[in-house]
Amino acid sequence: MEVIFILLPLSLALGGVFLLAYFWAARSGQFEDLETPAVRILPDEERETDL
Amino acid sequence: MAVDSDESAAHAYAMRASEQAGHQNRDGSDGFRGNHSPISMRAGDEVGNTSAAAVLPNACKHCGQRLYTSKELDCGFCCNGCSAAYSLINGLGLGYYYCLRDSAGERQTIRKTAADSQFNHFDGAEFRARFVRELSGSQSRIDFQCNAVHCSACVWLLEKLPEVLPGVDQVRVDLARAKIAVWFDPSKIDLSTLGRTLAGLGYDPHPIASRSTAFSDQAADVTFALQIGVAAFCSMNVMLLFIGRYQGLFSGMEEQYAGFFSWVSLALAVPAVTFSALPFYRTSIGALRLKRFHIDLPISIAIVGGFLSSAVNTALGRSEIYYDTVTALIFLLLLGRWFQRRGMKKVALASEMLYAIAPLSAIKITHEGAQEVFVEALRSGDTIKVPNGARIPADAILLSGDAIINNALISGESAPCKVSRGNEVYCGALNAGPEFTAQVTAVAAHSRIGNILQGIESASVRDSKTASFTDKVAQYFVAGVLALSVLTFLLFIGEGMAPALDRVFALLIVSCPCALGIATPIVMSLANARAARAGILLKSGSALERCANIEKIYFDKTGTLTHGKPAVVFSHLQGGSDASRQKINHIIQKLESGIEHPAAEALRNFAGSGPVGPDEPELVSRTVINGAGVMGEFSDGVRRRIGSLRWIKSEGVNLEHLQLIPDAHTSGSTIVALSEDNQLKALFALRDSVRDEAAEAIADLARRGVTSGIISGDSSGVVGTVGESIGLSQSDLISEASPEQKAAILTEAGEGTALVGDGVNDALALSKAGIGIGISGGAEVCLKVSDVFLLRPDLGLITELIDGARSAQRLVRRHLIVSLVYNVSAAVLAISGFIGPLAAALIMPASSISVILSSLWNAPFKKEAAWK
Repeated sequence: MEVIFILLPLSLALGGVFLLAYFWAARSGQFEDLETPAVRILPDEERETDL
Repeated sequence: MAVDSDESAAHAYAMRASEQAGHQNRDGSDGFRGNHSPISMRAGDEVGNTSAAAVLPNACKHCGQRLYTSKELDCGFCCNGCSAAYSLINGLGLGYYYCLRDSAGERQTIRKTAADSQFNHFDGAEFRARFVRELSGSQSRIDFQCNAVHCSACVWLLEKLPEVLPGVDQVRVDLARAKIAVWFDPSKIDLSTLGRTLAGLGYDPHPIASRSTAFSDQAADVTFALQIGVAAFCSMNVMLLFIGRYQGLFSGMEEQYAGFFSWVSLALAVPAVTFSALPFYRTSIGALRLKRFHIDLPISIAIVGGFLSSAVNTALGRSEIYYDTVTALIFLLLLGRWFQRRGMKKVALASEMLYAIAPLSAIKITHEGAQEVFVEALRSGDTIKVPNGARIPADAILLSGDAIINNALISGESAPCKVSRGNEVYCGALNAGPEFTAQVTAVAAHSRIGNILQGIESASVRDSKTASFTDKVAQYFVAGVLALSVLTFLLFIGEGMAPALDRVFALLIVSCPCALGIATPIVMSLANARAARAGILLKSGSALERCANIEKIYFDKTGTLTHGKPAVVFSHLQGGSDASRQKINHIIQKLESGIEHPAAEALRNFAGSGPVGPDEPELVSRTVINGAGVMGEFSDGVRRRIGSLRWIKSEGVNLEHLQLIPDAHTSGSTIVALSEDNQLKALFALRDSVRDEAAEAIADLARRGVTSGIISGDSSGVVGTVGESIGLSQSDLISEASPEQKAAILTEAGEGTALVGDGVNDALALSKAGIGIGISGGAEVCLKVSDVFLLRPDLGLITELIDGARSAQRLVRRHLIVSLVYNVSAAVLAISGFIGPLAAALIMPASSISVILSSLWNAPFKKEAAWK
């Protein structure tokens, strides 16, 4: 069971990486506007119009 | 109006709805207070019911408004503005926008913007200082509120701008809040060009001040999100380790692993205690400075004490450690705070409110001629020109002849009044008459409206008008817990320092007021979300609490009890056939289009609701006679007039049909006539009518023990008639009250008194009242200062609000009793030494979870309310 001394810090470090990813996402404003990104991707490739 | 289930989205909708009304001054399409149906939108609805707007042959290619005449049908546009916008969009190579919009089945029509503003005031140094944020030498950022942003096609169009407009680096649209952020290079593009382009595309830009509360809120929100994230990470991992430890308590655990687990938990608890829990320390210290106990104080003591005693015990190798409880406490309480925060709206600054109602630009007259400038560049003594239909940008003395001013925004009087030369006109009022010049006496913050708004700001900054019920309970709770802790310590000090401290911290942790910290915020935020779905926006939990104690409600008359604008209540058409109705609709549309007068708007609404036939005569020329009516020459050679009876009579028209209007419609109404040459063709009775549900709503309130009254700026005669029609006694009516007087009356009335209002003239009083209830369709300032905002102008919502608030109050009180029982029994166990770390870890969440479940189960505001 001595392996727990290595595995526990390792798993926490892995979790810490995700926490840092969350930090980056929150800081770059990804949680500020939750509605627009959903519609931003809707328009298809631009095509010629005859309007 | 569809209200999203998400309450923040619902909020944004409300902002938009109210701002459309509040910003009418800028798009010039409509100046009358409280309106929310500019003519373009109404016609669009008609089209939208059948299919996408631009697909129809008889709809304007740009805005989708219905086209009436053959000339319009030939070119495909309803006006020059739409034609210009269409060629601008296609000229920029963005014609795909129309495809997107139509394929999205977008029903709403594009709102038209004022083409007359050149946005030259956007280039001034004062404007830059106020609105632009310099990010680097070659990049700046400016944010706009654009209420016309409403669909994915808008997002596409605006975010394409950097590709077609040199100097614009990036555009980001926030659909829910109808905001756009523009990053640009100030050396490559003028702000006036940007403003003109946005306006040309149909998005009237209202700049957001760079020091606006919106931006500091954003930064605070990010920090808070990080704190919750850290707390979640730490508490979950500690919990995981502790499951192992508890297992070890029963089946045995080797010393080395138990010690290792303790040290890792200690390391994990440090960021939670030092970073995530900061808000609790801050509020408790802040309250202590004001010599008050805050609910965060025992929480802080429990967190810090629990952590320190656990750290000491870890170092000594003892098993009394509470990291799991401490970190879980931080995480759960932060979650409660987050719920609470979501529904809250921050205090608005007076300067922001001022920009929402007063115009940003003014036309200044210098010896070099007229020039459009930013209002803050005006100085007293400057001469300004105010065109018809524009809002006055500053307090000023009238220089040219008489002016017709609509003061509805400031005083609440619905009828425009005449101001003669040498008298003062006020910032924010609407010029309903011909163009005039005036000399500026006071600008922005020093103007009358600026002073009123500053009063509102200072009133809402000290928002804690009343200590909330939980705060009051917390005072006793905190004092009790602290006293018990000291007592426990003194009782057990004889057994030694360590065991005595163990008991004290076990006591602090198990008696931590979770019901107050979590259950109350959850009840409040659920109530907020459900109320929003029913059409009621609550600004804060304390607002809901205060609503439960309303004893008296004052209504502002105009716009709340009444519709706030005159409507055609009766019409008599000569001939009476469908054909003549169609013809009269056409004539009204032509003669009254674009006229800034409540009566003109009422007639347009009346005519727009009916059919229009083909091949009607065109308008050749038109004369508007102020205070009388409008006269036009038509292509069929007939001279037609619409106007007051007195004027029509003085023009020699025979008025023998007058008796055809029943008495019920003549009293309190304005009669407007339509004549062809000297023949009377139609009569209309216009009145600001009382809302249908008003009398019933007041009876409902009375049944709940709430008395009603009217407080209005109107004359006692008008107020008396309205009061009588809805069953109020004369003693409950207050008339001819200025905004300042209203505020004084409501300040005196105290906590149990609510005010329902919709105008800027009510804003000061709304902020001073025990509860301020703003109503949709009114000014944006109302939304910002009121505690409660009704999304629908439906007075029945007020009874729903009071019912919901009362049931929320009952629920919160029940939870307090339940959790008090938990806490007292746990405290007894802790003092007598029965509670170790394991029991504490079980009792704490059991107490929290039972109140949370009960909150979810019994949430106030009925679910069905959403489908009414």
